[in-house]
Amino acid sequence: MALIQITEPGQALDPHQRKRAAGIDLGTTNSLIASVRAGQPRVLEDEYGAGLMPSVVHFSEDALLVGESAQAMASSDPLNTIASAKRLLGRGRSDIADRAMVKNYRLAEGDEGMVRLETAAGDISPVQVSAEILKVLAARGQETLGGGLDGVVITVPAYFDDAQRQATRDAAALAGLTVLRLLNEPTAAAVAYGLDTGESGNIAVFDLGGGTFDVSLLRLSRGVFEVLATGGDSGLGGDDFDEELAALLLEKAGFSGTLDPVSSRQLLSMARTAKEQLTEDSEVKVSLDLPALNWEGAISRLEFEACTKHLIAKAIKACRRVVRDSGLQSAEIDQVVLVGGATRIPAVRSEVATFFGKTPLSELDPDQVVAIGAAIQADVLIGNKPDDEMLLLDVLPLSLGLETMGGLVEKIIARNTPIPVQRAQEFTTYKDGQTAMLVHVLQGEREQVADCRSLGQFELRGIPAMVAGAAKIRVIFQVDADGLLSVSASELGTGVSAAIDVKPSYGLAEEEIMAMLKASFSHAQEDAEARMLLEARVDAQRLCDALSVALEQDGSELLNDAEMHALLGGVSKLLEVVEGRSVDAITRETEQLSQASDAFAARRMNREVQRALTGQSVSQVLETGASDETALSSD
Amino acid sequence: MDFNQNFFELFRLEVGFDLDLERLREQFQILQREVHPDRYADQDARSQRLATQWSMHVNEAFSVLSKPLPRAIYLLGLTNIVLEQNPTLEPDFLFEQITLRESLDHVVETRSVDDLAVLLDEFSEKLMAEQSQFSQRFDAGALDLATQSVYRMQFLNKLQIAAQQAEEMLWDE
Repeated sequence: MALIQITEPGQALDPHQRKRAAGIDLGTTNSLIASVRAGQPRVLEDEYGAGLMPSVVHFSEDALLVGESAQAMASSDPLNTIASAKRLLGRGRSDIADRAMVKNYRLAEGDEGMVRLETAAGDISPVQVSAEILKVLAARGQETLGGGLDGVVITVPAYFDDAQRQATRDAAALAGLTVLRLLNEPTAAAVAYGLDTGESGNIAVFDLGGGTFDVSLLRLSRGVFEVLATGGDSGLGGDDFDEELAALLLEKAGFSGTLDPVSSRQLLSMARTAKEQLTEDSEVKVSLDLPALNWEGAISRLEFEACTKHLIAKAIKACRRVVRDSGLQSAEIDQVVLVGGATRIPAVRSEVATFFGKTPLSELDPDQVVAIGAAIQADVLIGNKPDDEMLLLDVLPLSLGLETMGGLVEKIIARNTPIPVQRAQEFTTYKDGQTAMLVHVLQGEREQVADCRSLGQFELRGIPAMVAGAAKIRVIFQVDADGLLSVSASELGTGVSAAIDVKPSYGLAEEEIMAMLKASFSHAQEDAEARMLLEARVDAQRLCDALSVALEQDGSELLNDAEMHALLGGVSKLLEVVEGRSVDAITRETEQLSQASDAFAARRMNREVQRALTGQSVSQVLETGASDETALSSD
Repeated sequence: MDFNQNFFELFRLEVGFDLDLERLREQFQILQREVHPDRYADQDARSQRLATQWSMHVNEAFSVLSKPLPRAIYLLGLTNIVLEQNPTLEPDFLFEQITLRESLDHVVETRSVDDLAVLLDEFSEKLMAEQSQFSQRFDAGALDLATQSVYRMQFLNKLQIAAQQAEEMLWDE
């Protein structure tokens, strides 16, 4: 008797099936994954029902622990238990001003490059730590959603600079994830709130997480979330409150020596517990039972507030700047949203309320709201909601510029410029006969090179020898919708050019990522090959699907017979090649078809834009007619 | 959409300095709904690149038109006026600038956030007066005078930025 065949879930070949998309909040202290299921965004839980996973990884010679089980090792084996790695992401050795991190770990010796931490499993980069966290979350997603993830949205603090964003992308690549978008955390929070309540108006998002602080002002209207301004401090968070409270405890205990790493971790964790209790109670009892010191006493909320006042002041200052950058008056801000665990601190709440003159909203769990917003955006981006009107328009958080003579920074793109953006600026030579020029890319608000963050540099060589000031060198900055930068330079007379994707010295080199990816597949070389084949096939299939639908809809209208025939031929050829096993052939054919369909894609988009603009009332169209005349007469 | 359209045509707005900013923002959002790369996130890399190019163009146009000084410079550019790097300004205006700079320096020395706020208000009033001056001159076709107004706006704008930076510095203290 023949058995009835049942396909494995997720293996059906229906192109219209829902794709598996998820939002990941890769936090300093905790991380989460959420997904839209049956129309509802939900945080995915582990087998014990926990949504939050501590962003902690424990390394030893023979095992790797992530999350709760790694956290449990923090006190007994602190140096091999890496927490808060996000604070080191995209950072170089030279720019770690982070007391806590330096104190708690052994930094590997090395040159200027990315920070590495010494562990029993060798030197580990923060990118690797983040990748391990992402892998575990992705596995949770795969289990809950019944198959591998087609794409994820990962959130980053809005105030993350280019190096930190690149490092986050690198971590995702290392974890084998397809990133649809890096989404700014406050924007994600606004999405979670906005969709829930259908709000329109101006909204301020105050996001104080474990290790980063962001504040953004957004304007909501008809599903469009437009970020007006953003600011913050990528080195300010709940961790700092723990540090201050720990220092206060030591002071009260009369201890002035240096604590060993184990005691130091235990003290921090006690400080954190005390901080959390002080949210409810006005005073807590603390008993320190450390190898180095024994002390019992009490800490009042007032004492806690006094020693953390400067931290809140720092955050409020950032709010002030953002309000000004947005061009809004405080009174025009309709709502204030609190995000991040540290906004549970009563003094933070009251200061925010005072500054904005409004009681902040906090109905949604501040720990979950970012992941929820990311899940909603992931669902839209993966194409599960083709008719959805939601659109997020974000901005560049920190100004970008170039080094000019005298160690000064010339700004090319100002902070809070809407992205994606492209700007060009022309420079010239300083000396007679100068044939090379160093292009040094910087990010930050200050005037001096030394006060900004160096993102990378490259040389433009082969400039023809001319008198000083005669050569014209055009430098082009491009920032994509993820906030990632690429820079190119060319001499206009000769066309000599040079370009870099700005890969900061603090990030991983492309080869390094490839090597790590290969290493992770080293047990089975064929795995890596199978994966490449699979990816090439997915890309090819995606192109064929999209193009077929487009040809069916608009081919007869926008193409002549020959063009239509050529593209249809291209599709069937690619579909044939996809059946084969040659990655090169599939990639080549995909690229060719994609190029051939460029003009068609441009025509389609053009028509959509025309439609969108002409879908307006008659009076508006008439007005436009009038304006055309004005334009002509002023010529 | 046509990359050769001027920014006003792109947003279907009447060419001129006095814009309906709400309308500009609406048109900006309508265009971004069509061309933002997120609308093409599930499509091939080429469509996304194309969308990114267009989205950049729309953002650029919005950045220029939404702020008074870039808008004024752009309007002059449409009439083929190229601004000078070191324009000649009336002595009276320059003298006033020096006086305003001095009052800024003085307020910064006294570290008074309140006095600085008063000064900032004064600067922005002057800037707004100059803007309406520009608008009238441009509308009347007095392009030389309008160009002078833009030079003055540039000065006042720099002064305003300096005052804002000073204010941020005082907040830091």
